[in-house]
Amino acid sequence: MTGSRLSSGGLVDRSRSLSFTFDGKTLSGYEGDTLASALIANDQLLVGRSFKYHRPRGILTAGSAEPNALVTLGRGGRTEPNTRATVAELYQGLEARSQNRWPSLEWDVGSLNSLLSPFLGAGFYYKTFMWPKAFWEKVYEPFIRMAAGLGRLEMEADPDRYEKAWAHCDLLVVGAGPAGLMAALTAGRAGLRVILADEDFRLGGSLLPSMASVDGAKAADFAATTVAELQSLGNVTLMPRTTVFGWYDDMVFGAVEKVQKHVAVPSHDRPVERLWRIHAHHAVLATGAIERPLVFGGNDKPGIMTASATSTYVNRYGVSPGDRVAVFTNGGTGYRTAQDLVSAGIQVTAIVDTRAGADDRVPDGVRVVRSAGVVDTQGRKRLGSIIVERAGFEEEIACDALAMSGGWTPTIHLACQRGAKPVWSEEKQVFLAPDSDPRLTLAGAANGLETLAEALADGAAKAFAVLAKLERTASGTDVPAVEEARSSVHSPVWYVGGARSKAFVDYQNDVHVKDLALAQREAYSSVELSKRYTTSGMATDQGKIANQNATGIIAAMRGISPGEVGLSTYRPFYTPVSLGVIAGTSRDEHGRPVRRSPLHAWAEKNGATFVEAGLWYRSSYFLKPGEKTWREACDREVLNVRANAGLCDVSTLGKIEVKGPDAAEFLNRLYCNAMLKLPVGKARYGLMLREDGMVHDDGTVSRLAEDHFFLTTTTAMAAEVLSHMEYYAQTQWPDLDVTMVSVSDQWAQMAIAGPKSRAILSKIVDADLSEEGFPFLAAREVMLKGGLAARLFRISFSGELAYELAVPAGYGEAVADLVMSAGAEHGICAYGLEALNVLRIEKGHVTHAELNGTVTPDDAGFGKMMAMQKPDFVGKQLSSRFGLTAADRLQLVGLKPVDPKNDIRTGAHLLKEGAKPSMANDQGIVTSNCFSPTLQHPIALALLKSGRERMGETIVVFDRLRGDEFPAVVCSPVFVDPENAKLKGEPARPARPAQKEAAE
Amino acid sequence: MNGPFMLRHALDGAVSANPARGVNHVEILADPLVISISARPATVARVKERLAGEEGLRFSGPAEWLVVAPRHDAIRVKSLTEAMGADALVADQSGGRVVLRLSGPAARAILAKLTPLDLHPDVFGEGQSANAFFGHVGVNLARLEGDVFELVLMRSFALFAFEELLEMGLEFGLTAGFAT
Repeated sequence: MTGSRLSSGGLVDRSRSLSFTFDGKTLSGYEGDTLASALIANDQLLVGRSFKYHRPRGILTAGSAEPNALVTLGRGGRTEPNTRATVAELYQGLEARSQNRWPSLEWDVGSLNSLLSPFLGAGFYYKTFMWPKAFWEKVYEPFIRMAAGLGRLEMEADPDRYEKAWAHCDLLVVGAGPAGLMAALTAGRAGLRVILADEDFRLGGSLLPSMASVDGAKAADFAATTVAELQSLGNVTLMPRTTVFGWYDDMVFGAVEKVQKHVAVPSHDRPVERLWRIHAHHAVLATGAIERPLVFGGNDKPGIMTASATSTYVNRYGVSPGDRVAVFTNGGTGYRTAQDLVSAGIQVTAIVDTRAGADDRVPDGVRVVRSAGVVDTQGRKRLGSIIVERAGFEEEIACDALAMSGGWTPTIHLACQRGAKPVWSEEKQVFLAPDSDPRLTLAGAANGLETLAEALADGAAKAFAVLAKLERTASGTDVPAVEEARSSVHSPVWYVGGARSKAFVDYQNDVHVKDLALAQREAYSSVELSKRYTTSGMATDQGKIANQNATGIIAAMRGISPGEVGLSTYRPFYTPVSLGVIAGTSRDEHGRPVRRSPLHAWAEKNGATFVEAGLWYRSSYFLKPGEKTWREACDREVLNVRANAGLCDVSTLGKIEVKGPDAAEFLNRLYCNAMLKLPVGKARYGLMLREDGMVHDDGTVSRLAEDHFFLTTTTAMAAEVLSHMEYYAQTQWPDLDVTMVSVSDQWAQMAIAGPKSRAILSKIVDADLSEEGFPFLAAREVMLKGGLAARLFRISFSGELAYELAVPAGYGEAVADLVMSAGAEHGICAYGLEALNVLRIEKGHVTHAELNGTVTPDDAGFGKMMAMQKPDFVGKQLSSRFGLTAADRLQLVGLKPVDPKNDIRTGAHLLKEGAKPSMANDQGIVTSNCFSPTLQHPIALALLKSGRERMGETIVVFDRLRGDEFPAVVCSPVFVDPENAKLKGEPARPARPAQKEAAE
Repeated sequence: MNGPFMLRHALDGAVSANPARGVNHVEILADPLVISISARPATVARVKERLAGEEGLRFSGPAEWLVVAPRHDAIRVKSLTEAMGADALVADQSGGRVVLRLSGPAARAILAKLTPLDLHPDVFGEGQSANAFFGHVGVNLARLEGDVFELVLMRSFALFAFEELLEMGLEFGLTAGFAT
């Protein structure tokens, strides 16, 4: 009753012993082993517990379809749950733990579930957790969550690096088995750029465990020779340990390369995994086939594995799963495995064949039981015997391992991931890939071919076809001769009748035949519904083991062909992909690109606290010694700007230059206000609409020359406005002779605002900055004293006498330093985004907090700016539509709390006094708020129904989220200096009774 | 020309003052010239003709080019602006761009981790340039010769992109420093 290492044979390096642990026990294997083969060598055939019933499970396969042998590898941040032991390359110091068991793998309390199994069938959840409703969240959800999942995540951060890369080739060959190697060799010799990718750490696929001879050599040696030749070709890239997991648009394939998953402590210089996006002009899928288990009673005991897995463990890894092995088959594969076992000196107790007759060679001395089936198995944590039934006669045959073969399912996943449905072959009784794209073909076993000779020939043929398409001459690649024992075809048996215990279809999710039958009875007979009702095919192997059998069984239950039942939809990923590799380098500080202003270092040395604004890091406020909160800094900055001066970094604004004979006409159509006659050397506020009449963005437009303009946009909309402009230039008005370019990064731009700003700038700008020499809205190139060309704009967002000074980005810091030192005697301060925001709220200037996509110019108080006399502009036509001119639209107003202790907060809703809070009674919404240091009480901007008619009304500010409900008074949105006297550096005057003009 | 004004490079402080220079190296140009030239459908033929033979000319989109040189040169900006006249929008973008030169036998392998462009010499030869993704940001990439590539990045993204570049070069011992 032992799994063991054979005395010789296999492709493992017996001179390099590796020690590893499983559940704390120290074991040893060899280089070239997988964790699974090393576990078998140490007679550890019990590897895990199943998901629902906690049944003891072993190793079913020798490849990536493994549903049972899932383990947790590593520790701490490197912990990786649900790793398939069958593809985990063994390395010195590997630590593996079994899953889904407590307190231990041997004694698992959860296995009590097995006793409850009559109540735990498909649909159990849906039927059980219905009532009482009060239990849904308090009892059922925690219970289900506790029971769900297999391995446990470690919450520690993953210390390893991941990255992404692109590759390009003429031909991508997926799978380095016989067909793939021949395809790559044929194309490689002809000089194509070839990528050959395979999920295994050793290239050769089914050649590696094959006992056939190819070109007179052992199959594995032929593989090694071919790989060596491919390696020598400069135009061929070999990618072992690389799983191609998806086929995407435009012939892009996704793949994950395991770069350092086979070492205990990865080098920091390299990633542990790399995500490849491979753009291939052509692709040959030589992805092989997956051997199906037979569905019979008790088919899940440790020691039961597929026949090809048994052969692989014996031939490739030199390990034996048992001393006395039985074979259960419906085709030639079982006989070949029996021969492999006998050749390795392992006793084969019997071959049980479902068929009446077959002409396969039976190894000497091995008993064959024909027209028979296994109906049950004995043994608890390890197979002890099988019960074989034929014609009503039952016989127990002792064995400690069983090799089963239910036939082969071509691996067509990639070809079906983009919507095309697989095609049922009545002849071969398998699903084949659809013909959906001439650039993608399948070869070998993936193409439904069964023999090695066919696979080799098909691989070469598919590569020749690609060469012919590319009109490349192929240098001769002869298909090698194969010597191999004849093997009969499989005659499908989807379900072995007479099962006396559970016959599993999906091992990992514990779905057995009776679950599928229940789904039938409850009308979930469509394959997609059956999948979801029973969870068959929903485990981490995504139905690689289960789906074909499930379709066969559903078809048999319904009395129709499997082709009529179909398969559930194939989707990426072919095998599980770590989230780490999908993130790549996009984690922590590099979670998204960071943009830094050219004045970033200036802000840092002036004590800025930064805030993320989109991708930008912007200076938020500048704490001075003694200040503890942002409010203290912000209030001081605001008052200082109003009293003296301040410098604010506005480099993040979008900046666009527009040039051409039709530039003025272009801008005239782009903005809703008039631009045609803007004089050279002047700036103007500009409001841009969308076609639907809503405000798109606002900014300034300056005319540098007759045919040359400079625009600013808001920070957030910079890229969008440029593409908006390009769209109109290229598609709507191609007749306009105009071009544009973004210069956002070229200029460091600083706002210098406050009554002292003129005095400060006069010290450094070599120009007449008097009211006459440089009036409001002047925009000109100037020279700084010392000889630096700059652009100066007399514009103001704060309501103060203010300028924006732009210099080439690299000189931004030097110029900002100069302004600060020139301004020191005038009390200049640096001010940040918080103060900028307060200054603009005090002046009732809008930002995207107000211009939220549902706001028209009139809503924002800019109604008179719209130049409706223009023949056309973007948004004009729809501006007059019903609803946009309605009297009860939300309009911009100011709000002051009746009790100045009440802070009006953004997001609060407005209600009429006495009205019940409801959607119907909603009067509007608060869009911006701040504490006004100038007025010494909180203020807010809001959008209020018919707001401009409601000045002086007392309204209720309602915010249930934050428990606010208090009265406020509706007022003009311009709280400070409504006469705009300060714009010219004069003292503020009280408002005249009449309403203010629009912003300009 | 720019008098007492000190130039600050976006990558100041991102590399050590005396870096070792490995076989794979990225050189940061301290004060390069980058000019963008945007023609219009009506003028593109004329502009193209006038730009023929211009040193450091890079394709950067339909009817759009960059002129890149190792040293900023205001006279060249002026003369190019005058030569284009009303036919093209010429903008000095030198302050808004960071220019890197990546060279070495692993240059292509490093770039393959950052840009989807196929940089096989048969596909992307000497003198060719293109706009592309670079990590998560944009780049104008040119092959100057063999395994020497020039990268023109936006200044605001430059530090982020440069850090990505260095990380992708780790396994090849990529070094970096300002051009001397």
